[in-house]
Amino acid sequence: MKSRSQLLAILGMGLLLIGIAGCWDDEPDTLRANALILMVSHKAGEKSWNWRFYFPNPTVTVSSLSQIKPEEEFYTTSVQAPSLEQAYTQVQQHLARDLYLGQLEVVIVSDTLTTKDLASFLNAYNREGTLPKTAYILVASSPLSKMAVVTPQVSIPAVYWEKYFDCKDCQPELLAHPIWKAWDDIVTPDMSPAIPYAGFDKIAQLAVYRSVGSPVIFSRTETLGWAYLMGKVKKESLSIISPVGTVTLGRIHGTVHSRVEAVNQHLQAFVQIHLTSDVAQWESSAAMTNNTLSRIQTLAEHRVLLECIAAINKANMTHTDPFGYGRRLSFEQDGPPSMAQVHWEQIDAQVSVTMQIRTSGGNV
Amino acid sequence: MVTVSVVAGGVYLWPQYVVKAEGTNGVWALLTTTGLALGVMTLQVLWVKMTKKTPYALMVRDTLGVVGLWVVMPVTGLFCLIIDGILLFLFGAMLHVFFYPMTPEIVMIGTIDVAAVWIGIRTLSTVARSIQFWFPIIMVSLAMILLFSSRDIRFLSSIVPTPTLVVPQWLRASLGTWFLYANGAVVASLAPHVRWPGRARPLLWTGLAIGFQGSILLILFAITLATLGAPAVAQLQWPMIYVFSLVSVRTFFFKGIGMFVLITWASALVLYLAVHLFCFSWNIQAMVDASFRARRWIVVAAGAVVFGIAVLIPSSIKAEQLLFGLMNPVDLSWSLGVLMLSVMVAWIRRRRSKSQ
Repeated sequence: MKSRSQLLAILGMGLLLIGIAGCWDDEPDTLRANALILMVSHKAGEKSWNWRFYFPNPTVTVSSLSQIKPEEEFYTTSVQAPSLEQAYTQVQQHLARDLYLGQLEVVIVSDTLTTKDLASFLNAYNREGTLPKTAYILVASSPLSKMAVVTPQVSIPAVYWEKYFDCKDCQPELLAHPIWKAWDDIVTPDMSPAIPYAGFDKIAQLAVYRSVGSPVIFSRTETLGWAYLMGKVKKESLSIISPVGTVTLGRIHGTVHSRVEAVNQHLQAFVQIHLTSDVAQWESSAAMTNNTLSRIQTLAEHRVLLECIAAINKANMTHTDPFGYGRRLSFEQDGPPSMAQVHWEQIDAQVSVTMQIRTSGGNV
Repeated sequence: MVTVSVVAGGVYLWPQYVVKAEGTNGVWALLTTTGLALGVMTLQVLWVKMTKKTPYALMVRDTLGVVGLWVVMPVTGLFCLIIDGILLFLFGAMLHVFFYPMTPEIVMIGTIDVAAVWIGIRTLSTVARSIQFWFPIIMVSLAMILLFSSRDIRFLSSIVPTPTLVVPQWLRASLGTWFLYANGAVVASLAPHVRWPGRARPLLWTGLAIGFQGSILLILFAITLATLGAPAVAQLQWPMIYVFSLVSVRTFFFKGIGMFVLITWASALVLYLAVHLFCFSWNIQAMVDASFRARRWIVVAAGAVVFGIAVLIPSSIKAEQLLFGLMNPVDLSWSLGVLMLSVMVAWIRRRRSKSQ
């Protein structure tokens, strides 16, 4: 009797183990096509979208890494399909491996996508439980295929953009934006989603989505102003032409305190930016006195202030709010966001910038 | 320990429904239900004290007579099993969405159910011991993941409830949170059996347990809302799981550390089910005066019923309708009604016997 129940127990345990393993989903990596980059483009008015998947070359092993040609590191599949799910099906028809997107690292969307397009894509992406929501999103101009950067800086299966965004010390301004934040911004009212806009091999601009239509691209200055206002500046530098010659300040970083209020149906933002910087370059002929330093400091603060104002002006001109001030107001004031009462046309901002310049250096 | 760990049941559904019904003000609903649960548990413990009987079934017989027993017990037990079945199904659906898209849900549901039955057929001390083992692990992993996900917080201001309170919304959301506390008769059955350190203080300890669960729910509510904001939370089916899946520590060897923690939560569900099955069978055993061996078969049968309910539910939308629309209000009013009636009867009877 005892041995029979023991046998049953062992049998039961075996069945449990098999069940827990979830064999149905267990597929060896070599049988999978792990997409690392997804590129999405869509032209306004057209029904089908262009989807491009990048896969690392599966034949690469550690030993063959040096022999492989750069253009062979990735293979790509591109399809025309009206939706993300249809794109899977069509891509799967091209592949001899099981298409798997659980390792996706970067999603690049074209700047031709309108806000509505982006919202529908992000919603579809977000519905899928197995897709990683921590993948980075960035916007680029067509043709997107140039964005699959192959550089000696990273070796496959790493992806350049993913490595760049992961590295907090690499970015002068922290522009990295995971896909869940983009989705969150789109779903949350009173906010214009701001997604980094990439040139061929650098990220220094922003794409800001209006409530309808295609995105507004912020220029370099405006993006910098946005980064200062949002406290995202980590190691910026600044050159000032002053009476004592050209002075460069490096490692600019700092903290931001901001407050938003609704004054007579107007959105009023009060922002205090405290920055710290090092003197990186100083004309050797000029003496470094308190007097000259404070002049440099005023000039630098002024420059940062102008950049901030440029960003706010651009936002006001295009009726966008990439700073999230409106959202903050509706969260703080009106409770359920659907009941938000305050509508504003303009952001009135009072920005104050203080910069502390540290002078310690090798040859003072 | 036993009372504390009855909690983990439906936590993973939290807090979408509340936020959908009431937005940021969901916190009031949570506090209301926690208060309600405290009240219910206090009454139950008082009832235990008055009747000095255990388990629940004998308490009921003592107070309401044999007829009362045969009315109350099957209904209470059935409600308990139905809620368990729905929660099990939803957990399986969650696993299916996030982890095992290709595995049939029936396998996951079955596995968890079998494991729960397995623990449930053991003796009380074995059940308690396995909970004692798992409980710290679950709590530590929860603390860890909360720590990591606090990095993702975006809008702290969205936690603060608004000054206006809409009463119908508040009531609806309060009803929607009841399932988190719907223990049936578990606490009443187990409370007399806890080995107290020092003087027995069941009232204090159940109060602490409820408070502990309430505070964990509050923390989860706050972190989910602060990370995503109310509009986004209302759109997600599993907001908390979503928030945890965002935790990725890239310097570690694997990215989805949050996912790992969620898997250990499966054990929490197993324990929750096991405790429920155990209490259910214990009460039935006491009701029909069955032998110890027969209790095992009651557990197996109850497990089969839970499995059957979980398998029969066609979709997660249906399951949530069933849970929030039907089972929550029905179970709440039933358990409140029975409890108040019995405590009253027991109290009156005790006074009479004293005065005689």
